Amino acid sequence: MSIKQTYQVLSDAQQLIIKGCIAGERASQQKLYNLYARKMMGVCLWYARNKEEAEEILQDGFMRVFTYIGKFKGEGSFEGWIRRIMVNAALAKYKNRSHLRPVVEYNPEEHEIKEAVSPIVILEAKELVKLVQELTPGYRMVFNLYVLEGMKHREIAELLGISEGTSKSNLADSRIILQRQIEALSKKVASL
Amino acid sequence: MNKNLHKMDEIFNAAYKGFSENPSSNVWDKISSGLDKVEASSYKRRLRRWKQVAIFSLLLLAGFVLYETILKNNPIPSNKNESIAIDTNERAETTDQQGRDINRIHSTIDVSITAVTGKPHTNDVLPGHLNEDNIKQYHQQYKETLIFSSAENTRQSLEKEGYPLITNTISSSPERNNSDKKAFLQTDAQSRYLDIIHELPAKNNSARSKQLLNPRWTLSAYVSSDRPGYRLDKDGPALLKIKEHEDHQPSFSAGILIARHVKNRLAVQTGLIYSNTTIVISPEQIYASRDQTGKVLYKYVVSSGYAYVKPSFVSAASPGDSLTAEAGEHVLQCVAVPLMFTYDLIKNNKLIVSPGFGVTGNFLTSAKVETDLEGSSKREHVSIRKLDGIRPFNWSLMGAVTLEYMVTRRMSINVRPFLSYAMSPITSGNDVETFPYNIGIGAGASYRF
Repeated sequence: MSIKQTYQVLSDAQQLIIKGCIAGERASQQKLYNLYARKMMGVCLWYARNKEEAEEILQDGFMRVFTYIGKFKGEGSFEGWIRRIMVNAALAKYKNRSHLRPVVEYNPEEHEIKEAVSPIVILEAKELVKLVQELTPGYRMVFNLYVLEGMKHREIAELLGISEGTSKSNLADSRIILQRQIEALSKKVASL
Repeated sequence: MNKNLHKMDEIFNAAYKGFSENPSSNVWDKISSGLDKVEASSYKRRLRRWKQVAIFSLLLLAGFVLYETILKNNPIPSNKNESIAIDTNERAETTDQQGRDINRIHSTIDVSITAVTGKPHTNDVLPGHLNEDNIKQYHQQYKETLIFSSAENTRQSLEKEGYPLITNTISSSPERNNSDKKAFLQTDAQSRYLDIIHELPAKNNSARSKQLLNPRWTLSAYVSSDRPGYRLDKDGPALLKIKEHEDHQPSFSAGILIARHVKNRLAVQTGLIYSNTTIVISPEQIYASRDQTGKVLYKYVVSSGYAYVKPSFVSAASPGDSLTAEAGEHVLQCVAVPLMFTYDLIKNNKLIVSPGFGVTGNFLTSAKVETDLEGSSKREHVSIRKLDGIRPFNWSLMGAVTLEYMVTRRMSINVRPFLSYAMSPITSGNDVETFPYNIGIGAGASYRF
């Protein structure tokens, strides 16, 4: 199958860039980077503790993209493929550092969220990212994978090497923490 | 609760999908440098693969050449072939008009001339034992095209193709009679040709005749002036330090090579090459560290290895202590065994130009470092005879062009520019990986037999 057939959903310019990247042309690699770096930095920031870490993940992610770009079969969007690679790069980083929280069984009673969360409407994406970044790595990973990537607890548990109960517990804890922070933040905003 | 959760999730999700931010400008630089490293390692992997392919191909080629030369040149006689015919001829006692021994001449011709033409395409029809270039020179000299064939069917097919035959076919069959031989000898052209043959020694030995007509072996000796160098690998402070402090001096090598012609122009060459490389090391600081046994000694690192030293004026050293190593000299001696294929690109009466390519196995015979260590106003000469982190054997690729001037039919003088480049490092476990190369020009003499 030709490159053109494989990437029918992509523009000619994108196809050329991908072709160049497969051939290892540095100019094409830079073009691809320029095309997606901003969006992917956005992804990495959700998974990182700060901007520096996000840039490390971005760097690792793009290295993986350039290494495995020849394996992209055109199934799904190219951006989605890159995004998955970035998430995997983030996961690899946190797995290596073993920052995940120890097993804590999930108890729904303990994790009930009782108040409305409407104040978050007034918060900008940047502030939400900051709130997520403040979560512990374990909470952040589970929250992101569940809420942002739409994964099931079973999948998250398998991916992170934790039990489903831990995944549920981490998610519930992270929601409570986020909710409290949002409330505090919205009160602060309201008082201004 | 669920409603709130969903709303919270949706808002985070929407923020996630729409969120983007510019990374710092240096991120691309880091990625680019990371890609450079990946490329370098990928290049190394490819190079390693190519080395394996090259060595395998050479072994295969060597096997093929051996098969061609040994098995094909010594077939098991299955019927009355040319060799048998020669024996028959040699028994006849006939002389030509000038009183030459026709039998000897014929026997030589029978062996030597199979199918030699002025046109190269017949070379692959029958392998000419006669030196084709000698015949060609003869053709050029007498402006004639000669076709000889000892095989009747070959002669007929050549005649059909319109080659001007100036000889009768010298039949190699036992039926040939003396009148045929006499008829063959009667034309001037044939006589001239036979004169050439006649210069050969009179021994009636087919193998000997073949050998004399077409020398198969070439023994050469040469000495060369070399400009060695190396490529250093393995990033680190040692690499920069070595690059900064080491300087290759003009060196020399000498070799004895023997080549076996397996085809008219193709030869396999091997032999022994001795090389002596001198590297001058400028003064530098060396630092104390623990060696493999746990002792704290001063580590002196050079491109081909390292050594732990301690001058007598230092009673005890702590890791990190330093000394000054004054200007030193590093001498490497090596014996290489090449396996090369050469091809006579140009070959005439006086000049032979033969490019060649192959591999050499290099055996390091000696690696010495001489320097003076200085510290606390004291100085001591240190001679290092054994380096660690050095490999006793490595492979190189070698290319050479031999330009030979024929002084006599057998003797020649030659000039031999060459280049060799290490395929594997001469170091193992050193702070750097060192791939030596050598460019040189040699001069020598060759003898063909």
